[in-house]
Amino acid sequence: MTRPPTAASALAARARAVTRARWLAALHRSSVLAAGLHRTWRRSLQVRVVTITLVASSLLVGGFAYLVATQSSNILLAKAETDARRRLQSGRDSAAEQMSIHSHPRDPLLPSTFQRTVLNLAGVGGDPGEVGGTVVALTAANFPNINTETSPRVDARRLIGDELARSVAAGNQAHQIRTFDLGAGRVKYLVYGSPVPTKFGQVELYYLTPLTTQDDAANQIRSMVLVTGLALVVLLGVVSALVTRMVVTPVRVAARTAQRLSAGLLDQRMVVDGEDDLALLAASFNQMATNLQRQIVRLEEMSRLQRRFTSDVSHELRTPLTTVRMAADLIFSEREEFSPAVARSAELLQAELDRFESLLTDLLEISRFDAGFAMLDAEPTDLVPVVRRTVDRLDSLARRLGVEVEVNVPDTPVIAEVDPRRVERILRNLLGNAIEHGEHRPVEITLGMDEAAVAVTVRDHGVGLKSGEEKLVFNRFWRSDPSRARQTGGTGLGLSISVEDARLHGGWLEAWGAPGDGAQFRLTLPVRAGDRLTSSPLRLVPADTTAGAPFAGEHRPDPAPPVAAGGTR
Amino acid sequence: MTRRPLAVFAAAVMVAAVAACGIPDQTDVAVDGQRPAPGLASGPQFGQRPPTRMAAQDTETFVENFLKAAAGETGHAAVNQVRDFVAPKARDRVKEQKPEVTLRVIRLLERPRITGAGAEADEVRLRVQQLGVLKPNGALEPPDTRETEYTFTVGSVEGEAGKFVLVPPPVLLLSEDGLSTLYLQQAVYFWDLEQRVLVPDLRYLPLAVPRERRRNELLDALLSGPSSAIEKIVQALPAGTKSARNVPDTNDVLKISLTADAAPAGDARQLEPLAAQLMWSLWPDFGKSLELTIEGQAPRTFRGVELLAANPAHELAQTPERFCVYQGQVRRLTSSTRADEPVPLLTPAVNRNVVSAALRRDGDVTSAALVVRHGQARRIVIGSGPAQGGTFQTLAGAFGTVGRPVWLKGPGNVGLVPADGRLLQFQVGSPALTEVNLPGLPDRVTAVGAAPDGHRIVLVVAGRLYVAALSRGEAAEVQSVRELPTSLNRLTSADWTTENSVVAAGLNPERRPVLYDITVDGAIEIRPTRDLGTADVTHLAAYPASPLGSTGGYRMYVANGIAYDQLGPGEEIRADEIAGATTGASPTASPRSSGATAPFFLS
Repeated sequence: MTRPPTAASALAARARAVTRARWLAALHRSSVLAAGLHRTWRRSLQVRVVTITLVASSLLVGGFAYLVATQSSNILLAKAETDARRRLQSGRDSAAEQMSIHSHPRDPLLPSTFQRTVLNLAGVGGDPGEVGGTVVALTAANFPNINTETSPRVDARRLIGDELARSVAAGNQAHQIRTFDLGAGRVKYLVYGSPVPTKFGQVELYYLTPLTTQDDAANQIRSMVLVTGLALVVLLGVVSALVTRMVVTPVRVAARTAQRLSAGLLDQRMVVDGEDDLALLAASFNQMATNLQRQIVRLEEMSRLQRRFTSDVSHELRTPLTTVRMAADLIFSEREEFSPAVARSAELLQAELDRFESLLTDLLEISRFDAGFAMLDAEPTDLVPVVRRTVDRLDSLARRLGVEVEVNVPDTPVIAEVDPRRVERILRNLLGNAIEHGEHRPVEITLGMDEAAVAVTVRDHGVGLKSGEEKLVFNRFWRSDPSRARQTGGTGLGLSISVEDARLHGGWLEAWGAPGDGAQFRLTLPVRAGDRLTSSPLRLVPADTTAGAPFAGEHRPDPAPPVAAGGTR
Repeated sequence: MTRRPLAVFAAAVMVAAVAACGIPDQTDVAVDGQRPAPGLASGPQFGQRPPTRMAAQDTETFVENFLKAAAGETGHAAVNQVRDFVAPKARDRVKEQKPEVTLRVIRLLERPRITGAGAEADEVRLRVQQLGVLKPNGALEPPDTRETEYTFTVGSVEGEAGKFVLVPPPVLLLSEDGLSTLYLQQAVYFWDLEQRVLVPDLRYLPLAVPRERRRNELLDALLSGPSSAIEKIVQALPAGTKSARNVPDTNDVLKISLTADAAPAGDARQLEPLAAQLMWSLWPDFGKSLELTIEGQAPRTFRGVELLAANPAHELAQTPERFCVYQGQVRRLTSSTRADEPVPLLTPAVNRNVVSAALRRDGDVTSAALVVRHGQARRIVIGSGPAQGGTFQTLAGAFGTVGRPVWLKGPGNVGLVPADGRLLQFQVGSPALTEVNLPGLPDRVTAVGAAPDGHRIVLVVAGRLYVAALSRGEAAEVQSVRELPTSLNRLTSADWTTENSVVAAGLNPERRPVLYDITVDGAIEIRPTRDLGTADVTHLAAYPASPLGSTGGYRMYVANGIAYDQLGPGEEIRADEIAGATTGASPTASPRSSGATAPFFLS
């Protein structure tokens, strides 16, 4: 050993590290494989059925094969034992007769009798030198002066074994299976021994029968059974796979058809093939689809009609309204020439006609939303001037009511892809509501943005909303306090239209309120048109609230509403 | 979601379990049950052994024991047993012979002569008669030497107790006493050349062999082939026949397994003679059965009763019919069976001037051979037919001295008669007597006796005893002759008492007339102590015992003109035992005689 110890230990350490790394890699691969298998197991009915069939059938077939193999080898062995026993008994009787002429163990003719007897018993016609045939042995365990004789000549001591020799010498007929090599390979021998009565004591006779034929037969049966069993198991697996496929495929087809049906292809039908359960399923499915389709088409038609009606009505109403408006404007401009009562009526007429017109406009707008005709004109817009513009527009109202409007906007431009007209309308509505219901207290309007969304919050400190009203507030024609008069002549549809505008952008419009603590409305729009919103840059619940009620009154529309699904909200 | 990984895990476990099942490599030891306990040996385990060296205190008993030492299991065991008696320094003089260990069987002609002073060493001289060579297969072959004397020294060895043989004889010796007490006489059987009857062959089985192994030893003895006494007239088993397995010690079925050479063709009919041979040789209990397995074939079972007929000796009656010649006529004896029937076949016209006769019944046919007086000469008349009467024929030739005729069992109705020193053969239907050639023997045949198998005869030629083996073709021909080394001399007559033993009349070494029972090889003599007086036995007839029965053979003889029935009611044949005899004494007879002469049995 001329290497320095450190290098050797370093090599060893590296080898260990490499081995560990390999082990870990193998573990990792196997865990990945296991995970993949688990997934396949859960996903595929076919895999499950095939696996269960394979396992169950291999258990059954294995049990049966074991039974057949052990029984066959037992039968072979039993036959060999019966033959050997019979031979032993006749051999014993013959040997006892031959030994009957010797009356003492030192008879000089005894050894030749031993020799002749084994030769005779070993077989008439058998070759005494043949190896592989039955070996006959005569021993005299209790008389050491008598030699053991065997035919053919082999070492009997080694062959018979001490335990068997002792048992037979004690007077029992006994047998054992032993394996040893006589020069032609290891052979299994069935060794049968019996005591032979003589006039001077007992000697022992042994028959050693080779079990080669039985062993070969048992081995052949066993491998045959194994091969057949395995083939059977595999076949069963294949058959079960095929059968499962017959069932699984139509189910899959049904699932796909149902998927397409729910995606909107209302004319998808399943193929009805035959009269079995699957055909029954397909027929029922088809019937269901037909009914659904009819119902949906009918409802769509009804809804369309209704919307059409609303839109038509609104349009129709517009025409006479314009005429009436023109007349009312004329009367209003000439009101000084009338009596004070008529002048007053002319003012009332003007005001109400204004209200009527804005209501009609709103209705028309809502009906456009309902009909699905609303179009989004999105363009990159800086929202800061939009907010300021809205505040300026409502400045006169705010001064009249004595409400101070606080504006919090960032210094940098807030660019988002929005429809500026609609956004302005939403903000005007929100700010108007806040000023009106603010109880003459200040109102804050805040603008915030992050990389995915922009948000505007309008906070007032007025009466606030009761619990549960945060959702109702967006309903059409809903008033929190029906007795309050509307100062600005609101129509009751403002928030509904704002919600639809927000939804059109793919954004959110949410409300929060606490009795006595005012309310806050938050508009969240995605920066890029069409993006899905996940969060908002501003909080819905204001930081300066006294009561804590998170997530109060969110109105979060469903993402990407399907085009064809109308709906009332 | 948590159920899914669990289910996948369970599935993976299932697959693994299926992949693992099958036949296991090794299981535990599984016990099936207890087996029956071993049996016990019946009887002594070691059989009967010859006495050991320390059993004797004095030299003479020691020498007797030494002469029995070789008895027992053959081969190595016998040699070792003899070596035990020999002093350690001289043990290597006792050699184990190659290729097989044989024992010299000797008869001591007198008590061992022991000379020598003191207890240091005695010189022992034995005067012996050679009886034969005992082979390992139990056959006693004729002696191969003429030595009449053996000498050896007996003494003690320093540091050891007891006596030792210091200079052993050069061969292994076995005394007649040892042979008769330490061996079992068993017969094994061989088919004659025509495969008509079984011929017995006597073997000696050592008693040292335990009872359970006896049949195994007998089978080996049988498979080793016939002994020289009968090998010319029997067929051996096919070459290469060996016992494939032990003959087990069973009580109900005799199980024998032979190699495939025993029956090459595998024909069932060929196996039956083999089965008969085996059954007769190993286990003559014909109420049981024999299971014979030839290697490579299925075992075949033969019932004992089917195999009886192979050995004609089974037909030997328990109580034979007895006749005698009275006043020139053949008469029945009242002590015999069927005593109230007339004499078969012999019409009064024929039944005259009879000197001696032989009767034979074979089914319905009775045959008779009569030696009739024709003036001073003797002629031979033979006839056969149904019991009521038949045709008779006087054969050509007149003779001076004619002995007792005998019929030979077997085909062709053949008989033998010694006439004028030659052995002549007669046959029903043939007018001439033909001489039977006895190779190597002088023309001084005095008596002949026929064994129940019809293939062996006992001869008394020039006062010596012989057994000859006959082949039965067109005529009976003597194929081999063997002398029986008996201690008798000047024998006069002999006949068969069992399949393998004869009774012979002669003079014992003390020159007194005796009747000895002698085995067919002459080795063992049974010497009854009955006193026959001083007169020679002039006529002897015996009826052999059945190998299946328990009674000994019968014999009747004439000595000093008086007829005796050795197992009869009073031994002497009295006048009232002769059927139809008058109470008057015959003028030629001695006062004690009843007048009965030439008694014989119906064979």
